[in-house]
Amino acid sequence: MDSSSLPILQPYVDRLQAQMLDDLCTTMPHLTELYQYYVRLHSKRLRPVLILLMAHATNGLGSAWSTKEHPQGTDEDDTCCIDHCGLANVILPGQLKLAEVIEMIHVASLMHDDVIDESPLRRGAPSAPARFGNRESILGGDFLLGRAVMLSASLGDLEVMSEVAGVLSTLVEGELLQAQKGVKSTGDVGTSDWDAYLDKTYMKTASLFARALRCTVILGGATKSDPLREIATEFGSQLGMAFQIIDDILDFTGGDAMGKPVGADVELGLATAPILFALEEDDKMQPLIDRRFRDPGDVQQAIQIVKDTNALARSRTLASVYAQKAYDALGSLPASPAKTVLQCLAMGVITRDH
Amino acid sequence: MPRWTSAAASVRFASRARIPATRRQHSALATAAQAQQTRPPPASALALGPTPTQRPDPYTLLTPELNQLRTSLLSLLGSSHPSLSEIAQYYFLHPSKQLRPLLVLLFSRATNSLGRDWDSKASAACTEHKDELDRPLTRPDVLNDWNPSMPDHTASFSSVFDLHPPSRPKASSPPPSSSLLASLPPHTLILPTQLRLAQIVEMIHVASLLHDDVIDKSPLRRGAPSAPAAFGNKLAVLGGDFLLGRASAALSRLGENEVVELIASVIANLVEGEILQMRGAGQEATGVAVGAKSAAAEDRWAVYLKKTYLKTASLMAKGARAAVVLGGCREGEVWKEVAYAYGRNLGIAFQLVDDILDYEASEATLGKPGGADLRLGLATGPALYAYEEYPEMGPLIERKFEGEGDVELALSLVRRSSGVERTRDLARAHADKAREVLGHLPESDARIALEVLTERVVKRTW
Repeated sequence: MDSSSLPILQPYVDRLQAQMLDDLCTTMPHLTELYQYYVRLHSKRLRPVLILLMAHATNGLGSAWSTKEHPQGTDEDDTCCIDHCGLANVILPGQLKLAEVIEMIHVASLMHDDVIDESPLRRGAPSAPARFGNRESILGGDFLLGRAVMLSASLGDLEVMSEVAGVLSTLVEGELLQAQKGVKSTGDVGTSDWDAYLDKTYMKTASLFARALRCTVILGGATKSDPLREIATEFGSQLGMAFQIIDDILDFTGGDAMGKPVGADVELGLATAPILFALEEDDKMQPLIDRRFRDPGDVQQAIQIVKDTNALARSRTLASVYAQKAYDALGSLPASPAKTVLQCLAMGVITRDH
Repeated sequence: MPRWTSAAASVRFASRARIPATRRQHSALATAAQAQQTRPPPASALALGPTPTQRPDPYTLLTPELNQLRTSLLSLLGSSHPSLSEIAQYYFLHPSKQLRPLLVLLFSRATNSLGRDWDSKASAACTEHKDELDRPLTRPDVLNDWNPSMPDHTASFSSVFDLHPPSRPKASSPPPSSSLLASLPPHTLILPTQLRLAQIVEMIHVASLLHDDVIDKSPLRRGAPSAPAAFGNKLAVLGGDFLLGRASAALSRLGENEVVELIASVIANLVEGEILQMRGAGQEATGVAVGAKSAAAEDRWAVYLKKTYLKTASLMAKGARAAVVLGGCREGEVWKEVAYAYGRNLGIAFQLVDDILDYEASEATLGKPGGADLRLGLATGPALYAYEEYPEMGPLIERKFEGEGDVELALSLVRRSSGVERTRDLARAHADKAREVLGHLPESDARIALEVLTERVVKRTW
């Protein structure tokens, strides 16, 4: 589930990595180290890969493609032409830059999350707050955000710029929603817990995927009347939901492969899909949820209840429902290697272990 | 000086009624904000009323806009999320001088109608729907498509950013409707985009204050109410992120690439300024080996002035420049440069005076003992000048005044030296430069107000 799934993407991913490091360079070595810290950690670069794949699968289909393919004043060398296996598609420089922008915002959010969650580890390495302290981690994240917004302006598309800014504000709204959940709701507690979870999941994860992919096709010349925009949005949203739910499952099962301890989410007081499914089978979970697993032994008890019920299997089923929708969303796209990979990714999300 | 934390504990606010932390907090805030408007803005020590020569007071000139800005910001913070209402309370109890938005608005007034593209900007403002700036560029139902109960375009946007033309004081003409806008003399018009920019600038400023407040050493105290000076990291981070997110979204909707780049670059500037300040002028910060004493001193000055520009002046300079761009100033026209030069010099002067006040002001006016910067390990203008006269300051600066009795010794050395006076001279020089550059602008109320501001910034005692 990475760029090795479509080898021709590897040069782009490498270029993206180099470009990001370059854009985060400053004259002060310590600051450079801070800004580049998470970028240097090994990562699947899922979001950029999705953007590049979507570009590959859809460039040439949009009504306004011809205006994008050869914009006035650009060098032929600038457009990264590939001619592999009969593909005549290009990935536009703007789309590569978009990938960079989105990844920067994602990395910034990770830096802030690790401060808020007081996480000591990120992918098995010391987290940014552990390495640099809270303040610098927050400031470093802000720097990345500022740079990302600046870069988005250079894409030259107002709509895309607005979407990118929207990614940021929606991420924060999701974070806030998650922070404030814990207020006891009256009436049917179960439903509102699920609503809050799904809303939060959409805002924190799926929305970024959706907007990023929509921006990709916009940059590729998909106009408002092209179905491409809806296709990209739909695929991104559904895939994002599936991805996050699996992430939440892995929090119970993943262990070392995740680079952080089991039950980290529960420690933070979060009621994710496995917890909510477990609640449906065993109402001993309710008081634990209500007090956000704060009492000693709560976390262990919650993990045990989850394992004793069908919660994990049901969560996986839920994720696969979203994954199927993602798969189906691409149905009307013409066949291409990229489309195949995207659809495999959708189904592959379910089976991943890290 | 982290104004946020220190001023909050100050004597000045002790007599204010505490707003109870109840669920109806934001409505209490709205009421309080309403009441606030009928009193003169308390924090505006810079607003001293009309001068003997009847020059317009910068704050009074724009009171309706500034009040509207304050209310909308409070309302944004207070009503979007319960977690944020605590921050709103804080912001309310410690009202900002709103200097940055003021500059944006004053420069808008001073330069609107001068730029080549003014006409198209002005007519766009008249013909466009009032809430055009809020409308997302893509179809809302596309954003909602999968999740009808939680739209991406959150409802809280539209109410908060609703920009009514500010109500004018009774003495002047009735509020201009959009059809009348075009017939008004150009210099009284501030475009909706410029009003929005003023909001954005203030939001970014407040976000930076919140993020500067993030604590390094103490762990997040879960559930426990924080001391008045701090919210706990989570709220500070989230509150700042919230403001940055909204500011970025609003920024992108202004429809002007150059403005987005300008203001987004300020975010990076603020970060670098803060980190520079935190880490000091040593080798670790600059990556440059500190050599002979004079080289070291020069280094420190360079870092101090750089920090001052990044942390304080950049937002003012780029905010003013962005305002002028929104007014239709094109490449090659001088107005943008005037705005930038003014903002830069005024910002530096402002910060230098801030640094002086930390030494000068007594406990009674500031509500805290002098030398707050020293206690934070910061060597500002007066200290750096004093170092030139008293070499014994050197080691004190080096160890960030952490030794026993360091702060008191440094305070006395500075007071004995001409540090304060020389810093004030430097501030005056920058203020003069700012005033000088205004000469390029045609005469107007706003220009005079900007001149007045350059004097006030240096003369203030708070």
